[in-house]
Amino acid sequence: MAPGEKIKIKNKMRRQKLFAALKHERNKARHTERAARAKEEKLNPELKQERLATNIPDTIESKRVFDETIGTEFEGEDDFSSYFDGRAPKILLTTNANARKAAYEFADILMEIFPNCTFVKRKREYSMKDIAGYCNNRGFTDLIVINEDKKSVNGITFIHLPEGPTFYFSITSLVPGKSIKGHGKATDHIPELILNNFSTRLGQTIGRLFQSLFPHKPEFEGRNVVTLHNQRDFIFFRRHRYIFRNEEKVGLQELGPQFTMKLRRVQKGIKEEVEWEHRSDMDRDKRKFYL
Amino acid sequence: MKTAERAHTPAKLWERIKLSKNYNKALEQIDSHLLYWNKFLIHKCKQRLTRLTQVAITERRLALREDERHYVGVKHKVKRREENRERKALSAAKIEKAIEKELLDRLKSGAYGDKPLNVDEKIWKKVLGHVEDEEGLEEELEEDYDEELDEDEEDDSDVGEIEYVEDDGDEELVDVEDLERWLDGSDSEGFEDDDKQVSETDDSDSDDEDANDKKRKKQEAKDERAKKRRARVEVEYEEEPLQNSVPIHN
Repeated sequence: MAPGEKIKIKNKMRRQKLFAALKHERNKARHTERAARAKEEKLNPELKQERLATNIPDTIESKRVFDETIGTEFEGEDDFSSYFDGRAPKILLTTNANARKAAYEFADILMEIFPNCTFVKRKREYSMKDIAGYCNNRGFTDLIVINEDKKSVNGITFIHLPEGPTFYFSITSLVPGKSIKGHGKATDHIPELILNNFSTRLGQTIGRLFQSLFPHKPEFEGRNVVTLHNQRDFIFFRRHRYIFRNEEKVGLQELGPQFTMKLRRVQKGIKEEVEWEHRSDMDRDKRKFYL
Repeated sequence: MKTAERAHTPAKLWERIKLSKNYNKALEQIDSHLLYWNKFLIHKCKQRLTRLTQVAITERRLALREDERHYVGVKHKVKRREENRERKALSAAKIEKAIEKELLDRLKSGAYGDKPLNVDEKIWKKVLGHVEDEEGLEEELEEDYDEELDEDEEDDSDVGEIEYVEDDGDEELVDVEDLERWLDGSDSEGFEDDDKQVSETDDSDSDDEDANDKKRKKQEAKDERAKKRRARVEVEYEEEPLQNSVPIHN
């Protein structure tokens, strides 16, 4: 049926039947075409290569709005340089005041992930600034605060000590390791870290933030790998155990948890001046990304 | 207060008195102004005053306290949009593929060092061979590689059993168990021996019970497998601590 053509049948059942038949026909035609093409390409593999080379579909990533900081090397100093100068990370983990069970469960999960991490139950009378001060006195390098609301974890704050910056991420689609099908049991080796697609200047900063949370020397015999994959400003957290099956193939077993983070706010210092904030009007253009 | 005496001037019917900010003074003021009033009404006025002062105090306290969280409303439309974009981003990401690619890159670029602990030696040799082929290295380097390869081979000849035992198709769980046992350290060896004994006794019992050849064959096969596993574990005890000492203690 041509796109402009209109069929006017008042009886709904007959109309549906007709449309179903038309659709079926179209599908059939497509399948036969594909089968024919596959046959042709099996005889002549060059054709397939040619088709794949010419027929590249447009994706949101390929049509991304230009950002001048993409592809530039990270230069200059930032607050994470102490890590890259060799200071080992030491993390304090806590929750918001009056947190509920979900927050503590998530804290347990994070304790497994981050080596050298201590959990402290949050007391109402101490603000984040106070806690950051105490942490500085005790030689902590990072402060992580889990935010729980309505009995579910919905955010996480990373404060790099001694003097900021502060990053607030929202957390969605949190799946604990237990409920992942075929999940493995995690060992307490120091994992490797994979940071994918952190390309802009802000993205590189975020990458350095995550890098500075893990010790310098991963224990390769554990074959654990933690991945933070940035795609369209969503940061997907995954943890796997891998095995090299041969020189071209890798086997992965998921250890969990899975969750997705989205950067909401970057503040200078310890929750002071807002440096970058996600606004809903930033979503207006689907192809503009900030990380 | 309103009185019947001012009823003829509605504009001035009501009398308004500003109370002091001091709570006690305000109470005295109420007493003095409502001198001949009903006791119940005086009490009501005082109650009202008390409540209002309390509210004022709480408000002041709340204003002083800095809230850690500020609440922002999220519209359903925005929420749904983000959920959908997240879903689509996830499917576009192809995370597992990306991870596999990255890991292979690391393996091939030699990020894991000269003697990686996370690769089977067979595979590592192949990778090394590839690197040589592709890059066409200078002679010196090649010589180095050759030497390394020779070393590897020597190692293999020493503990040839590794090659025989470590199977690519093996389940990963087994590896994990091995690792865990290894992590447990010296205790695990005794533990292992216990295991062996237990399994052997089990086998003998079942043999007595069952006369079927098939079953026996199966069990023999099982035993063989178990032996293989044990053999590998023992080999790892000998070998790995030496290698591991480098990354851990640095």
